[in-house]
Amino acid sequence: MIDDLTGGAVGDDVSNDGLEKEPSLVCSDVVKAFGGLRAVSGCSLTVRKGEIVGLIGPNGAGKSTLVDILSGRVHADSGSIVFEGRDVTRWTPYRRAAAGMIRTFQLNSEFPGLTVMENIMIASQGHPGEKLGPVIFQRKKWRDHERQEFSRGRMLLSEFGLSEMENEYAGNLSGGQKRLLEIARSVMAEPRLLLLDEPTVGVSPLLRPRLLEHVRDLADHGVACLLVEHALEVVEELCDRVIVMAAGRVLVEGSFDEVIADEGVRDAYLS
Amino acid sequence: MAYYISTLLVLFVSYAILGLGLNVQYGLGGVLNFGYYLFFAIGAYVGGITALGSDKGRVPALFQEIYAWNLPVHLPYPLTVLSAVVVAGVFSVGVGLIVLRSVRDDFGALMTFVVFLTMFTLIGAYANLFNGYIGISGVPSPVSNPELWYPILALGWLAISWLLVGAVTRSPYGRVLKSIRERPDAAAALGKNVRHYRLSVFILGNCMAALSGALLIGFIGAWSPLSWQEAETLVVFSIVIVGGRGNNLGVVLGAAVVGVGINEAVVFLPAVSSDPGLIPSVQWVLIGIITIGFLWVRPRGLLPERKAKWPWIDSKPGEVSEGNLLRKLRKGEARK
Repeated sequence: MIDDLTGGAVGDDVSNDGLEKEPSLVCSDVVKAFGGLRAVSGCSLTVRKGEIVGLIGPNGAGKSTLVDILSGRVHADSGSIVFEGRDVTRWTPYRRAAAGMIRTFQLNSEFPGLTVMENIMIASQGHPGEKLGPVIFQRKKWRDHERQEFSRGRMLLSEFGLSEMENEYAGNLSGGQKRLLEIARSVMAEPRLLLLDEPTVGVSPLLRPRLLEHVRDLADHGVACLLVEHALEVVEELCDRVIVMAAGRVLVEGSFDEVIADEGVRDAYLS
Repeated sequence: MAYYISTLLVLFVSYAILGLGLNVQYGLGGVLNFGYYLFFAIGAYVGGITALGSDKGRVPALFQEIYAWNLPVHLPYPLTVLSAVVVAGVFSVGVGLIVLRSVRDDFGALMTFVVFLTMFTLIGAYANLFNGYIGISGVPSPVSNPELWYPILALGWLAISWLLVGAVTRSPYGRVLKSIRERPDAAAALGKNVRHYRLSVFILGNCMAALSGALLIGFIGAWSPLSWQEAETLVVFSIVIVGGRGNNLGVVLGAAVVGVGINEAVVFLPAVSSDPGLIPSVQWVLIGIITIGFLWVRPRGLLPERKAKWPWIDSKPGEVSEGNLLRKLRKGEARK
C-alpha cells in the first residue's frame, strides 16, 4: 500500500512505528575545517526512513556546514557519509541529488529568470528531454514524459497554493512564496532524504502549517527528513527526534523535551 | 550592386549563425566564452582547406604532406562544412575539459581568452599549419553562380541552424541550461550535472561558430589571422546583447542591426584622406557605444527572452483534484 503511494521508492518497513526503522542516512565522524576554523569537528548522526530529525544549535554551531557536507556541496576533510547503504562521501552534489538526497537552501535558491512552472519542472528526474539526443531525434518520447511531469507539477503548485503564479517569474514571488516553491520543487524531485535548511524563514504564519504538513506527509510515506531550524516551536511540533549541535559536534540528542531540559544545551545557547 | 547585396546577405547569415551559437552558449547556458571567434576561424580554415584539395601552390605544407599519402582530404561540398563542424567540435571537447573545470565562471571566461590568444599566435607563427599570417586563399565556391546561389545556400544553412537552436531552446534540455545560468548550485542540488551540461553547450555553440566560418570562406574565398582578431568576439557578444539574450529571433535581428547595419553604415561616411584608418575606428566606437547603451538602458535587448510555454499541452491552471499529496504523486494516477 505504502509502496503504491510512493511509487515504490521507499522500503517497506516504514509503516509500522513500533518497529526499528531502517537507517537512511548515516554520517560518521565528519570533520571540516576552513583554515583554522573547525566548523564541523567529528560529527556523527543517523536519520531513519520516515523520521523527521531536527538539527538545532546556536549560531556558528556548524549546522549549515553539515548540510552542505551531506549534500556534497562541501567535501568533508574526513569521516564518511552513507546513504541507503552506499558510501556517498566522494560523490558530487548532482549525483547525490539524482540518488534521492534532495536539499533546500538557507537563502532563496529559486531560478529567478524562469517561471514558477519551469522551476518545478526542473526538479523532474530522469527526464529524456534533458538530453540533447532525444531533444533533436525523439520529440514524441520526451514530450510524452513532459506531459506527465507537467500534470504532476500542476498538482504540486495547487497543493502549495501557487497555482495562480504558474506563469510568473519566480524572481517576482514574495520571500515566503519562494520558500514554498522550493519545498514544492523538492517534492517534485521525489526525494528519499530531504535536507531542509531553515524552511520556515520568511513564510507567513498562515502558510507555515501548510508547509509543515507537507513535510509530515512526506515523512509518513517513508522519506527521511533532516530539518535545520531556529524556530523551536516548529521543531517541537514537527520533529520525532532532536539533535543539538554546538561548536561543530553533536552535544546531545533525544526527544524535544529531553534536549530542552539538558543543562549543556542551555549553556551552549547562552554562551 | 547584385554582388553587394549577395555579400550583405552572406554576411548577415554568417553573423546570424554566429549569434545563434553564442546565444545557446551564453544566452541559455551562461557560459562566457571570450574565445568564441577562434572556433569560427577554425571552421573557416578547415572548410577552406578541405575545399582547396591538393592545390600545391596554396595548401599549407603540413596538408601537402598529408595529401602525399593519398588520403581523400579534398571533399565535396557539404562535407567541407561538416568536417569544419566536426574538427571544431573535437577541439571544443579538449578546450572545454580544461576551461570548464573551473568552478568559477570568471576564471573559465579568462581561460577561453587565453586559449584564443595562444592559438592566434600559434596559427600565425607556425606557417606549416594554415600558412601563418599569409593565410589561405583561392578557395573555390561550391556553386557555379555564387552571386545568385550562394546567398540562397547560406539561408538554407541558417534555416537548419534556426530549427536546431529553436528545438534546443524550447526543450527540457534548454530549461536545464537556463537553470544552470541562473543558479548552478541549485541546479546541481536537483540532480543536474552542471559540468556536463556546460561542456555540451560549449561544444554545440562552437560547432555553430565553425559552421558559420566554413560558410563565409566558401563565399569570400580567403582567410588569414587578419580576419579574426580578438576584438571580433565582442561583435558577436554585441549581437546577442543588442538582440536579446536568450531570444533567437532577437539575435537574428541583432545580426542585422549590429553585424550588417553598423558595418555597412560606416561605409557611407565621407572618406577622410588624411586618416584612412578613421572609418574602421568609427565602426568599433559605434559598436562599443551601442553595446554599453543597451547594457545600461535595455539590458534584456531589443526582444527579451520569452517565458516558457507549453502550447502542446492542453489544460488550464488549477485543473486538479483535492486529496492527499502523495496519493496524487503516485505513479500511474498523477502521471496520467
